[in-house]
Amino acid sequence: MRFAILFLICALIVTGTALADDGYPLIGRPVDPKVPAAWDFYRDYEAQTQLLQDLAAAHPDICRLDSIGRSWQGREMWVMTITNFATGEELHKPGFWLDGGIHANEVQASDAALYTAWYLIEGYSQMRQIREIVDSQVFYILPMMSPDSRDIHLHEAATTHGPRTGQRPIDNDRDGLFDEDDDDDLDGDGHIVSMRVRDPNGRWKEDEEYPWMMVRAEADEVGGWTMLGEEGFDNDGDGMINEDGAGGYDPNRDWGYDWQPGHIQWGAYRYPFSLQENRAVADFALAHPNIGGAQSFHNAGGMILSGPGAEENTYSRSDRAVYDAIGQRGEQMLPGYTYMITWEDLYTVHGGELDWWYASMGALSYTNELWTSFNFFRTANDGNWQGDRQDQARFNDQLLFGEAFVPWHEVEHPDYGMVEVGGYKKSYGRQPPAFLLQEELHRNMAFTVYHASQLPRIRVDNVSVKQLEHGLTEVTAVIVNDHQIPTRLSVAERSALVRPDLITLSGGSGLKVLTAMRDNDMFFRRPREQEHDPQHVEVSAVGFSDPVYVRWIVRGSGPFTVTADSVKGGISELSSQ
Amino acid sequence: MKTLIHTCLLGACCLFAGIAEAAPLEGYHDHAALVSEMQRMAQAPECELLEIGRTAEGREILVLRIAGETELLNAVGDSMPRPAIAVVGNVEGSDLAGREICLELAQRVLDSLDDDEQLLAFLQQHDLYFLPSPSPDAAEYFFGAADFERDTNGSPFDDDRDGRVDEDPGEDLNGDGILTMMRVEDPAGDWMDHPDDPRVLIRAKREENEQGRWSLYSEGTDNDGDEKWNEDGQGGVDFNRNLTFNHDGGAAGCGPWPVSEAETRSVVDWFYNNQQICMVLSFGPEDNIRAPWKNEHGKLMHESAEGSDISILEHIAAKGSELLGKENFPGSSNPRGSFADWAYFHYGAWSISTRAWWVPEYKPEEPAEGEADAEGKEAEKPKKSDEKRGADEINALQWFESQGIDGFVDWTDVANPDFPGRSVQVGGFRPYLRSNPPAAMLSELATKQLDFLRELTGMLPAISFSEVEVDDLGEGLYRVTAHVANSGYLPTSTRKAASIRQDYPLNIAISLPDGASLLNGSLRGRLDRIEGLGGESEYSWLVVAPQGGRISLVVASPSVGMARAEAEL
Repeated sequence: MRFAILFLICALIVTGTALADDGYPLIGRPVDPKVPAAWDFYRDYEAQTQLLQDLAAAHPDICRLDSIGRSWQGREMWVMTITNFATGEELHKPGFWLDGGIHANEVQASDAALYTAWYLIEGYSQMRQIREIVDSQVFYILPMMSPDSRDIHLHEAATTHGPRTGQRPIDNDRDGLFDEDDDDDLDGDGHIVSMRVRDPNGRWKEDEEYPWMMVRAEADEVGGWTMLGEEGFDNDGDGMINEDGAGGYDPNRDWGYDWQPGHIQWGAYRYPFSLQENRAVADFALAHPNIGGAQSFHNAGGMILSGPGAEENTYSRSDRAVYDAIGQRGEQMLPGYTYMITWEDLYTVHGGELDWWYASMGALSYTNELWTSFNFFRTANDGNWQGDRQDQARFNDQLLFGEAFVPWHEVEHPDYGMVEVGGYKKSYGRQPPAFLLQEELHRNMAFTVYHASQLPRIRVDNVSVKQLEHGLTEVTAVIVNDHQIPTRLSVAERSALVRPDLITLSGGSGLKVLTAMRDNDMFFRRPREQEHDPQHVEVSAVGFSDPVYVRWIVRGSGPFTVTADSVKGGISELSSQ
Repeated sequence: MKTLIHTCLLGACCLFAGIAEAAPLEGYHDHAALVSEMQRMAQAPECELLEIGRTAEGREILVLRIAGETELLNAVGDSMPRPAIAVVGNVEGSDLAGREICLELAQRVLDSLDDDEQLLAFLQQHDLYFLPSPSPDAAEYFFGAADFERDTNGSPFDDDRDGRVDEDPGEDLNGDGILTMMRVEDPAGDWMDHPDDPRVLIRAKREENEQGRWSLYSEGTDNDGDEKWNEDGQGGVDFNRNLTFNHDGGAAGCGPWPVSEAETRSVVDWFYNNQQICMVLSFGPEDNIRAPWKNEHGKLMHESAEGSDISILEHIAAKGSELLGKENFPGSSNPRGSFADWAYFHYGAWSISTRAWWVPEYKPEEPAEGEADAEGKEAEKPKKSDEKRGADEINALQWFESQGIDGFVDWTDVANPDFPGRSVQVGGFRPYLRSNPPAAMLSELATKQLDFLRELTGMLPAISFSEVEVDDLGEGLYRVTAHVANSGYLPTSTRKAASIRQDYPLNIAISLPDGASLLNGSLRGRLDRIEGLGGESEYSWLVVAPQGGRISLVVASPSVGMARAEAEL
């Protein structure tokens, strides 16, 4: 029996084609995965944990599940490491970081990261491109960056916009009490929606086409309704409603580059990495300098965001060129998505994760804002990131049969008396409906894998030996990088975030290295000599289609071995004939 | 008991300090002695010892709390902490004097509790916290190798960011157990001999046709061949450069980002968790008593101290200078990311920072004989130049000599393969001696600091209900207006705290008699910042209530304290 299974696996690998049970060659997902998974719903902490553990148990040769710390409320911060463990040291492979759901209400972000892990692991035996990348690189995937709040959003009353914060208590209104006046689910239906009251002088009215939707009255028009904000009452008797809810910070303003305190920008907590969830990631990143690319999944708006978050932190032209090339590929793979620069096209962010990966860790990073209103009717729209409100209502009406809306109904309010509550459910606005979810996850996964496939890979392309006069020997190596991201981004060179690549000559008999030089020109017309420690030549960076030529003048005879060792680009070795 | 500990400590020094026989700084507390001394103090009934964290090397970060007696209740009736002053020593790793003075101040406060009326009254309503050593890993270097003044902790750090960690420390080339300076004879060098004392080097002014004679380096070799000497030695991150305000990302000693170190996190978290601390007195190289902060025009508001805060800090500085002296003040050094800056600019407290000690002005002894005789002697002395450069160094050499302190290693020739064929000499001031006095001088310094601390305790805000007006509007309707006044010198918060939203506004709460309700105002409201010396703020309610009922009022803020009042309707 075991033999038969082995045979079957071999057959799959050999043919490279997966067959479903009924024999039909389905494409676009792993067929007959060891860990089957559906992708038309959202998994809570427990369900995500279960899937991750099942994957790790089923595929110990290509993945490993670790907890890198615990959240404020004690949940594990799971990181799935995915690589073929038989093909070399993990830290010597180019590494890619992916996380999701740092803003926990952005639920599909976590599922997209989880989907990526599932797809890479289950696709490994069936898909040649996936196998190549998992053999030669390593992925680190943390699907739940804010697991405490994820479960709050999924299981407790919330809006589509919350909780963005973690659950650490903060005295938002600085009255000495913590989290004492959160919103309140007045009707107990699990959705925090809006409150309204009839008011002959009110400035709001019902929309003519979709009367459940409240719109502002025109300047010369009578409204009839006053809006009273999100569901809730004055829990602490200070005259304010919902002014001190659970938590009260933005985990994506807590990172170590260009950090600014709360009075410069709302959301920062005490200092960079004052949130333990983020600190666990920072510690992990410091221990994994091989990470050369990073993505974070968020929602919403259909954006592929690059830094800088703030205008003053400009990127070099060469780094920008790489960002542009990969980002524009993303626009093609993700219809309706736009490649953007955060501060210029969206808003200013200080101390964001995106910038930190780039400017502190030297990794090319994007943030994907999942779900685009383009998907309402697959047409470009002029609305804001949530889309045109009419389209949103029409989509609810025509494709969701109105189920996205909690109809207005009366409730007794402790402060206001009788009011009406109603509005879109917490699962509508920032998230795709179930029938579009898998496509959203898949396309973003594919872009992530494309980005990862462009991680630098250093390679010794050629080693040649030439005898000179007086018993001297000249050894010349050509060092190349086959991928678009250079072995050191220019930010990593400029700020010395990452050491130079080291090209080492060894082997032969009686090897004595007298000096070394390097050039970007194959004819060595303007080489730079390295006097100190010439056996280990420092190379600033190797770019795509931009080889570095290294030459040693030595005594001794070959064959010689040249080793190229790049922090982010891996290790490569080649010997002369 | 105390004597015993000191004796033990001396033993420890002799055993472990490589230069113990030459060290004039015996009598300082190493970490173990500091801990046991604080544990001993904590036996006093007024005291509590708090461990607020541990360093990377596992040393405890300790706070001694000297607590008041009165229990304070906040606006909802919960027990609240008392407003407090925190005294912080040793923010710069090599500034051991600040640590000793902080420790000694705690002892002096305890000793004064029998008869010092002012301190007793203060401690009725307030607490004092003493944090003598926020970065004990950095400080402990003094009690170990002590071969150079190390301000950083021991965490390996790639100071020059070349991918190699701690690969180019200094080397002891002259075999004296310490790292001093190294000068290399070099006509292109920037340094020349001081005309009065060739031990001291001064910077040559080329534009005034002065020829340099020396290039100056710290003692050691260029281990990694990068043409930089000793640029990546052991350690680390400097606590006093690791805080969030104006942090210098990327620079050596600052850390990869603000608050990257375990000790910094412990200290910062402890302060944020203790919002009752309204004033921080710290000892370090930044000195805003002798060099008060100014309004920095042209900077953004959040980068400059704010108007009325500056006037108050100037007043405190004037008091401080009067009590502590400022003769021969060597200037304030304000590193980026410093603790004293953070305490004001990001934490929002009154931050007062002082150098613990500096080398005093050397004053030759007055001749006892008659004037003529003195003139005669004067004539015999070699004539001194009027060179201003190097004056601090010349003064230090003279002062060391007058005190019998061996504070300088004379320049001697050494071999250094980095400079073939050139004369290389090693020498210079011994580490730690120019920032830390002999232990015998600490007591007098602590006496002055105690006077200053007492002065500060008298400045804190003091709130009370100056009046509760009840206007009977008839038919059971009352307007209640509470006036809250601040009779202390300081306002209820810094202006900065208000503008960076770090202040805790005064919360005011009203309790109503049965059957009463509010027509205006909330059960819990808040008051604006109240200026000192009689400043006032008010809050009113419209109450419908049966006649004769009693209302009670509480106003409270953790960093200010609380007051209560009752009134009859």
